[in-house]
Amino acid sequence: MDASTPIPKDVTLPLPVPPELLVIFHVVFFAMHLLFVNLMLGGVLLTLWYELRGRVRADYDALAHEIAKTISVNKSLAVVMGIGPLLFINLLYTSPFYGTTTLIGDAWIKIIPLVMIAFLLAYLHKYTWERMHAHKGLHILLIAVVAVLLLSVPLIFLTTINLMLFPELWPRVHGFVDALFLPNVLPRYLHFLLASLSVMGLFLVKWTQTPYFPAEKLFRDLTRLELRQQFYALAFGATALQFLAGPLVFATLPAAGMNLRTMGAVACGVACAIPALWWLWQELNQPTSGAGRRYWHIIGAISLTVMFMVIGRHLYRAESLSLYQAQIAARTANYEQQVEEAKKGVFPQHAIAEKAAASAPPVTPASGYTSPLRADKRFAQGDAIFHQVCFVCHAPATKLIGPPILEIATLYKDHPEGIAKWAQAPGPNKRPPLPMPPVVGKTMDELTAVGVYMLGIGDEEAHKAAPAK
Amino acid sequence: MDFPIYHLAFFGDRSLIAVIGALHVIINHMFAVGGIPLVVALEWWGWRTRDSHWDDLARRIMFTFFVVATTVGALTGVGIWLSVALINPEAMGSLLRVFFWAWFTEWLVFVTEVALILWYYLSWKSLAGERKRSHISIGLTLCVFSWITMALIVAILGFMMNPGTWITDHRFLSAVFNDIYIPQLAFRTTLAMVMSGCAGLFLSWMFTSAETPMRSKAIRFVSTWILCWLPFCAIALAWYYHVVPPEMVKNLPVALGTQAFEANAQIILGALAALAGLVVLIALLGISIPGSLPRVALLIPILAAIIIAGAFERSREFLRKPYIIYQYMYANRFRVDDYPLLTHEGILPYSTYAAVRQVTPDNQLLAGSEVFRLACATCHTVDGVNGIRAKLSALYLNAPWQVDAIKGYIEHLHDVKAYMPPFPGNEAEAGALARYLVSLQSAVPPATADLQAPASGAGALAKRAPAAATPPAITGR
Repeated sequence: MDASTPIPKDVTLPLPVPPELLVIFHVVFFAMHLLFVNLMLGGVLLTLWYELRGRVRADYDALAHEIAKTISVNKSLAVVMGIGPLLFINLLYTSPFYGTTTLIGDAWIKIIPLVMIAFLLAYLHKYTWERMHAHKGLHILLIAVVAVLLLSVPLIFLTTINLMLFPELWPRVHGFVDALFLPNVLPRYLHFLLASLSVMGLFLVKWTQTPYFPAEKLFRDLTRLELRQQFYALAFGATALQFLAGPLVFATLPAAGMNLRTMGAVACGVACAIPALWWLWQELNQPTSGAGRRYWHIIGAISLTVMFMVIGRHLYRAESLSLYQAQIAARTANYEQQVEEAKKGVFPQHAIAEKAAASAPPVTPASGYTSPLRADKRFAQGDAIFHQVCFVCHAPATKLIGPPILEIATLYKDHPEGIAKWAQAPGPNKRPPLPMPPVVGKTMDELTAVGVYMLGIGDEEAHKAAPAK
Repeated sequence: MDFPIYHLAFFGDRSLIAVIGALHVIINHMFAVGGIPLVVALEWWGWRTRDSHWDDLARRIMFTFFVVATTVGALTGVGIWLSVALINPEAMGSLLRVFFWAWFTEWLVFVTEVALILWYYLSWKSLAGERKRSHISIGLTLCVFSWITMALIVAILGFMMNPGTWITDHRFLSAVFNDIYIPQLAFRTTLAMVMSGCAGLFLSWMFTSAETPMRSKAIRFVSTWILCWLPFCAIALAWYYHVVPPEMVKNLPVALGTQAFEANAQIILGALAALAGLVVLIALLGISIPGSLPRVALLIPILAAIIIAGAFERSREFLRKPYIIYQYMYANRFRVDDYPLLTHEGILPYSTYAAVRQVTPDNQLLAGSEVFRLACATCHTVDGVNGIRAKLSALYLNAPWQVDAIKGYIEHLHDVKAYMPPFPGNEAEAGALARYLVSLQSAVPPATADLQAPASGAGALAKRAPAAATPPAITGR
């Protein structure tokens, strides 16, 4: 965030539920969505892998077919479970979210055809397993295309959700590819892919050991124990690699949203992942029949990790957007007031000031007193800049987000440069909860002009308050 | 005003929603809301008559519905949401706030519906014989859930056409139980049943062989299904038409035929009625001589259903014009309440991502193009679908376009054409927009510059710069 970030107005109807409730819904249901997305994507990747290996060992082809059958259910649940989180994020972050999706709209809307085609091809792949046996290469190509399509969709989501955190970058981002290479998107993507392999590995460990999985009927010599070991190895490897991918994600996070609570949530997540990894290692080294007695411990620990990470992700987002959201709220309130007044035939002062700045003749303020500073050549320029940048937070006599001009003018009487200096580098006595961000992209002279304007307005406001003087 | 503008220069913004939306409605009604009751009826009939051919046919039809509904059907449903939020985030954001609890409930019901559709189809072979009754129960539950998802969403569509007392009281229940709701729900429910029969006729032919008596039996069954529902569908349509606000009915000719065929609306209406009559005829033949119906005759109902449903959706969307939410928000994304302020102060000073904040003597064309993007581009393009250049050319032909005339027209457009919203900006902005539009007569868009140069004269290329210049605004892509 910096002070030149455009601040939009929000949809003006009130939120129908307390935002805290939306946050809880979002965190819980997003985690569920993620679970099924992981199962779906992991399923597609493992189907591809085992069908390829099936060309050498026929048992793997049968295994691939069994894994492919899980995709139908997991892919449908992945989609429907994603709708809830989309609903909550639409309400919680209306402006940043819609702003982002319209910015990279071409990529965003392609999610629909991409997923649609992937799903249709996945059905084609599943239901032609026997029929296309003579054309195995083509059949494998089908699932490879599904994999590519479904690998691209999370990338679009991640890019969107990442770009949403940085409205100050919007003026500089040109399209999807540009947004894709912002820091943090690709590390997060890696983190997500490893999670998909880990989750699917854990799912298959259990599923291939249940009586519902007809191993003895399916395979010539592939045993349940072999499968158990392979899937535990996959889950262990992918989880272990998270200890490299995780820090990479953390290190590339922009500082904006970092605070102690976020770090605390992430630390708790890591703390739960360590025993999970240890139990995975033990299970891997004690080949027994069944999933092993530590299986549910592992599931519990990893679920906790995911929950903490999802919470951390939310806290980071809330923190990095808090100032922006507050500014949006202030601007919206201000706008709604103008809308209401306009209905009564009263029109805002600032628009008149803007017109004055454009067409020069000075406007006499209502109090009848005219500040001599209006004669200053810099006043009109300051007026214009003020109404581009500062007006979002500062009003003549009332406190919006920042202090009223009247108060600033008293502090810096006769020192417009002081205001300019502060604006470039706001001092340490920032007032909670919303510190003023530095104004970038304006020169010292321009900011001094704003100072002149503020002193002028402050002067007039002071006379309004005490006309006898 | 408060979001970067996403604009499809050729295809047009509203076409994106229309294509996704029409596809979704056809699949939802034909294959889910109407389709699953038909499948369950066929399955139940087979179970009652102890004839496994019916069960086999039902399962095959269900396979088609299952594949299409869980891919194209589900994704286009999400697609409507994503595309509306891209094109009209103001409206989407508002609807989500009004209907949160409906949407939330719909989502939970939808999750259940998807789980049930997977369960119903994937358990077909395992829940057979003694357990058939359970399988049919799953099917019936699925019917109820897929109907509820539609019933919840239809409340939102009715609200957009007439929010009724919500305008003043802003209560959730007023929003849901708007005047349009129940009639529209009745129409869509019965329409879905008829549509599924139309698809079922063709699928019955496809999944049975000519050698068995099953084909004739199935065609007779499905024809009866269509004829049972059709009268109710007609009554519901009349009821629905009756509750549409009277001023919207005036839009019907353009809604049915677009401006190009506005005068032929009666013919179009007649053609749609004839198509419906054809469906009745084929269904009657399906009952009397099912064995002699040719394949082509069985294709007609499915095509007729798609055409009628498409025409209905297009009309419903257009009748509502100039509003996106009747009496609350115009199709151009501005609220009715915004007008007193914006027509006085202008839209540019309040548009967060516009390239300019006010009209000055030097920036007329740039300001005009910005006003076009903000106030017109939701429905219009420059040269694509519903292109403004073609409209002005049709109006003024080759005579030089006049700024004052076009400005006057912009300011009074809503009086002339009931489906156009009033211009949201102030006078200076109407002037800048008029100047920008006039510049289009001689300016050539960059992509087609070479093709048009000889036809539009030597001066054309020289003047293309102003209109073709990309404003340094934040735009979506």
